Amino acid sequence: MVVSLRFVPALIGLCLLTGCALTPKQSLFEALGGHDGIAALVDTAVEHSVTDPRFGELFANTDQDRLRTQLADQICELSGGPCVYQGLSMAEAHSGMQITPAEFNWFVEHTRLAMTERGYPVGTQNRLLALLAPMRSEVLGDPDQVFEAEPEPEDPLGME
Amino acid sequence: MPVSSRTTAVCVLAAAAINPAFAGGGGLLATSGLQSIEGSAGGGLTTWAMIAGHGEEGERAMGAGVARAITDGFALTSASAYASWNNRFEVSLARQTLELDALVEMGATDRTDVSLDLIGFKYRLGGDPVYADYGQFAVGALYKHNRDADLVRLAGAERSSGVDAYLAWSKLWLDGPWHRNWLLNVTLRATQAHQLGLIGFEDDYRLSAEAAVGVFLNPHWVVGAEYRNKPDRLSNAAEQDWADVYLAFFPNKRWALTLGYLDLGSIGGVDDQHGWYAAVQYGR
Ligand code: HEM
Repeated sequence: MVVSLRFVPALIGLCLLTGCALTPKQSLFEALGGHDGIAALVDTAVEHSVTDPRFGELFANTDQDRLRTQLADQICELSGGPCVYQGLSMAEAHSGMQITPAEFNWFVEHTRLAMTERGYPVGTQNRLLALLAPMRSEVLGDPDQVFEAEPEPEDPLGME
Repeated sequence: MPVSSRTTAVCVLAAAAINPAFAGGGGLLATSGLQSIEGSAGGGLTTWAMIAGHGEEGERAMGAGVARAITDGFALTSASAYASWNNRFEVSLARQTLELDALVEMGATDRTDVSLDLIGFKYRLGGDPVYADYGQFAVGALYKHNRDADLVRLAGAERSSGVDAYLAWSKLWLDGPWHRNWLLNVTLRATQAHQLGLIGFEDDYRLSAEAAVGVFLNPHWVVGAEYRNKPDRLSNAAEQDWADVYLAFFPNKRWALTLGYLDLGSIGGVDDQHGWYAAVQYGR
């Protein structure tokens, strides 16, 4: 069989142009199964994370019920559901933990495996992961990224 | 009379890896790349900006693989190994052996094969294929030595060893078209080589470009295509750009299997070299 692959550059260009036309018909919130689906997903992901020995003592003092509720609210809001996340900002929630890139990856891995376990199709999984990925810089323990209070202006008016 | 050639092979491959677990560059999916036929992390025929292995800061990764490409007139085997540190620096070793069946049949040479040794270094300048909007950039160099100086001379090449230097960019696009994750790579290379170096090298450098795309059907399967531009400067053995389409399978974080279909153009004066590529690799 002889097939010429001289068309490969065209193929590469084409794949960059196509998909943009395909918009999701179903909101991600619906695809995740609404409040119940998200709550079950968060339970599974958190359960896997807190019992993973690679995290050591990281979750030892965590209020897991609060974590589940906040995470579920956050995912609900992110996915377009009728919720308003009222927890801490990602920088605040994870400050001082010095979360490493490897730890972040394990957490993502647990989330992904939890989605697989709960039977979500790959496309739905990718949609959620794409919403979580941009939070990485705030979650990581990079000294430059850690949440800092605005410095107090020093006696700006010269009034001692 | 043609002379030699080389050949090649190659192909394919792949991609990112993924899998459950993973890391180097990702977590979401992996993205550590496969081992290219030149040993550096990449696809099959092209080199990518990924650092081989699923290492992160403070981690070390190692791996090895073997690839075999068979075209109508030639067969190429590439055995390679790498070590990487901190998802920052990669060192790779490879040996390619090209079987010259078509040339032997034509009576162009009595040598049955020619081999090339490659030592590669790659340094991640910055970025991250998944988490940085601008992707990941890396620079690298390959030192290549052809073990058959006579054949190189016969082919009309000036040197039997040479260097490639490259700048590579890779981006993993989460939730792209069809809600799939897409991998894009572009590499610019300065090279002295004829057919990777399998038929020798020149004193001066030529610029060439290569690109690869892949789409993750799911975290375990990637399909894609590659294209690699090649210089063409041996008067008696035209060299053409290479292309391939591939399917890579990542059953878990350690193993990767790749199958590809290659179009390598003319090799050593023998036109229309098409064929198959298969590779297996293991890393930890
Ligand atoms: C995109 C990824 C992540 C998201 C969206 C996320 C989200 C959250 C949320 C919503 C909370 C609760 C905030 C609150 O109490 O108001 C939280 C807390 C927490 N997160 Fe994350 N998180 C992420 C990654 C990680 C990673 C990678 C780790 C560690 C490996 C981690 C460890 C924790 C811990 C230990 C707490 C509890 C803190 C406490 O006890 O107060 N998180 N996270």
